[in-house]
Amino acid sequence: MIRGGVAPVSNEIEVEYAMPIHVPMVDVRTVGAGGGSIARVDAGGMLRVGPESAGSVPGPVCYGRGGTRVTISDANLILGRLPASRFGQAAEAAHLAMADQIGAPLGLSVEAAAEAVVRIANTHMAGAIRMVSISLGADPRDFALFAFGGAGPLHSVALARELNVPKVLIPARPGITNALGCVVADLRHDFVRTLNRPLDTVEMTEVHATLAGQEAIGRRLVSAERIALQGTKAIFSADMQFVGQTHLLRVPLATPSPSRADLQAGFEAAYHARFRVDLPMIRANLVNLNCSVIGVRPAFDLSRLIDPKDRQPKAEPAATRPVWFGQWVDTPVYWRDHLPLDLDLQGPAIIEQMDTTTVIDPGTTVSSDADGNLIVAVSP
Amino acid sequence: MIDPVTLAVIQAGLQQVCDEMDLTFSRAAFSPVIAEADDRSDGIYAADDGSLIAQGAKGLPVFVGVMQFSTRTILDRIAKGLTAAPEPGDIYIVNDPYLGGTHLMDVRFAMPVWREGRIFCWLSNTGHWPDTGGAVPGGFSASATSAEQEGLRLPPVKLFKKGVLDTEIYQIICSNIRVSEQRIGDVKAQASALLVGEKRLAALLDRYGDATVTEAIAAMRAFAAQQMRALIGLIPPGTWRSTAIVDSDGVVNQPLTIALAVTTTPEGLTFDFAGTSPPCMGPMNSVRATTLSSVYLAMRHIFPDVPISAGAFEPLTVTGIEGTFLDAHYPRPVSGCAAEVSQRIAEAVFAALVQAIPDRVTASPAGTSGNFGLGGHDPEKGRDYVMYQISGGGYGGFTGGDGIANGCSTIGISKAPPVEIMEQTYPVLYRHYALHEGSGGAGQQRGGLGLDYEIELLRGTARASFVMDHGRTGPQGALGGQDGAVNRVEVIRGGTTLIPEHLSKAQDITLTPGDRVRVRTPGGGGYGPPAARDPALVAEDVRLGRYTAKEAARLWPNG
Repeated sequence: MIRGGVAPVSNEIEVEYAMPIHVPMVDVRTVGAGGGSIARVDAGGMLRVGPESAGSVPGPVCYGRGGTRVTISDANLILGRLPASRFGQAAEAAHLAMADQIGAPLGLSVEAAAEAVVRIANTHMAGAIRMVSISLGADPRDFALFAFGGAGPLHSVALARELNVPKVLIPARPGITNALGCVVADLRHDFVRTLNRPLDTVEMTEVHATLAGQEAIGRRLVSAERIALQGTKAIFSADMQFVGQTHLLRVPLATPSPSRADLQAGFEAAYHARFRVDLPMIRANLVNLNCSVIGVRPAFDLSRLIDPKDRQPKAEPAATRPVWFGQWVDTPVYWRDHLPLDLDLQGPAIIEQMDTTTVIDPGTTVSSDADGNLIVAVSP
Repeated sequence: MIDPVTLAVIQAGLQQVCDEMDLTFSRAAFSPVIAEADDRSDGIYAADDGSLIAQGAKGLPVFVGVMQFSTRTILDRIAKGLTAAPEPGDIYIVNDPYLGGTHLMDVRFAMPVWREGRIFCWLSNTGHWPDTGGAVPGGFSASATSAEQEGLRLPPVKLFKKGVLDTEIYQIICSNIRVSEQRIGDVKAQASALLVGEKRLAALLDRYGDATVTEAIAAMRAFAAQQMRALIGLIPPGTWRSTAIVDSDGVVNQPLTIALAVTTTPEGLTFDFAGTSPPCMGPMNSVRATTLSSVYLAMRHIFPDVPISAGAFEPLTVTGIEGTFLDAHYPRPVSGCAAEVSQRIAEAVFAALVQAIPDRVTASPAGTSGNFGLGGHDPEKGRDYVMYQISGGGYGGFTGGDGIANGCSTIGISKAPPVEIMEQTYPVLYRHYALHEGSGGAGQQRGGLGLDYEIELLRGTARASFVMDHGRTGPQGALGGQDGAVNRVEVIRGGTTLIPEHLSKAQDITLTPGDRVRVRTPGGGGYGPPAARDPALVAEDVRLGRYTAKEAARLWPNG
């Protein structure tokens, strides 16, 4: 979850066995649902999707690599969201498997069964997004959904609807987002120093010296890198808790020389925002002092991720195919690289490109910004 | 008839409400038992009879069925005028074990959810408070002989009235428990979790409509019952018997026996406990709610697909507990029920059903929470403290492989509190924290290893109490596998080693700086005959130091 354009860093990421690793890391949470997640009807007659996955080998039935159990990708194919032409014979096998494994036990048509699989998968994904946002004290309705990965844009508009997220942003190259990050991201060094003492017993000169020291080392490390930088900045924070607690709350600091009152007030405000609780009778504990030094790279021209020469003056569908949105709808299919920057499209539509397929549900509109990001407006 | 998609979406939505309550509770809590060990649970209960609608996936399993009994008790008492009728904003508090509870330290909050002037359902949560008074810090008095010695007992009373904390009741509570100054933080965290749940539930009801959600809840219940019956159908018809042994009650040094006969019936399964020992003097009694919940949680271990809902329990009938230590009444002491006796009940279920469906059940797991309470005064910090350590043990071998090492208790999902947090918070040093080598029971698939730790008291004097189990007999092996190693407690004072008379239970052992406590938790039971084990696996265990060559030669003679 990104607020104010800043990717959050957490030192409570749980890597395995629910054990947190107290080292600052970009706070990425992953959901166990993907194209390979297997759909089944359980012994009680309930439809389930995942967490079992067919992976990429044997993969979904439609891959034709020996997979026999229907998956989310098979459902997307059956619903016309993925182009059947690319899957050949295996597309037919996916239809048969869906009818047999999901449709028959539930008394649903193949399309309704596939739709149900996608809806359940979306519910799981939406639930996970909700947990992540609420665990950080935020309401998903105040955000835009950023869709990336090969499969993200297939589900993102439906997910936004489910979550009441009003806007979906689809970058120019969703399928290579991570690789792109490696190439253009800023340099960053994080420092953590543990004090773990009640705030009223901490020497403020020690606090100021610690933060200043962290900044100095960080600036030295960043300047030693042989990479062109536009500038360097430092961000400060404190991890605090009430005396007796074990979980921490991060309190942003405007300067490396906060007063004791600044720390107390910042903590109380952060705590109330998260838990809606005030505890004036309990002392605050200053656990960690943190500093992040960031070497800012020159801006990267995102609009060049799609070759401007390929853009056409007007959006023209390359083809039309039936796509299931509660019923079969003849849906225009666009090639992403040909879309103009002053785009204004109404759903339903399918937008294909080398690295992903985007589903634009009926009742939504798509525009583009100057960087070539697609922006889908989802009416509530 | 509700369509299957809406049903699944609402089911996931109700689950989400519970999960969000769990998360809020842990994050805001002060008690490390709640914040770190997740010894808490949150759920949604029916307005008419308190039956379980949904429960958080990250709640402590032993609470799986308990809160439906306590919610039902509150409803009964309101109907009889024993407890004041609810108004919007009211939150009840209760910890009485005999009114659908566990032990006194598990404090429940319950709050009705109002829709258009009527109660739609109840939200309830349980959190393990670090202390609720009584003879010893932490509440695990191993030698208590009545409920009063175990702590403050609260019938259902309104702690919050129309949204406001009743400071008079709160002060009565605080005057009767240790380290009370931090409890306000836990009380607010526990209430805050319910309020978060109420808000999320209201959003779900607004979206799908009260009538649709009500219909979905009924359908979920029917589906869960249907699913449980379908799975029970995998069990070959017949009666499957087992016994499980509790070391002693902590007062009289005699073993207690749980006798179980599981019989398949056209309606489901009957669990008959006839022949089980009568109520005991010491705190190893169980109460009805905890006993039923223990059977439910054992079945959920065996069939983890079944959602936690009252419907899943419908096909399960429990008989024969009247007059036994599994259905104790006031004033029998019960501090061991939630953490220990519950696990022996589950062990009896596993030991019976592993014979019937060996592919789905493991040999017995360590099955003790390893409760170790240490209370004293820290002169450096100038304050009193109550430290509460729980620990894992080995799991049983199973058809697919060896048991897990140092897994959490059968009734828990708790992480052991991190050593770093314990050493920061309390005046103790962990001298070692390691696997209990050689402890897994021999078998074709061996049991997992238990835990071996030793702590040293650094400052001040302290009193140590233990409520553990499996000190007399190890976790049972299955299908020819051997039992896992027993639990061992040693107190090392001034160079002398003391082994508690009751092996796994002791109370008020005084410690001074430099004294040490070493605990070795049980290994899991072995599965299948040891002779069938692949010799290469035996050699690998020796190479990794899990067993000495001598031990391995004795346990696996042909290895």
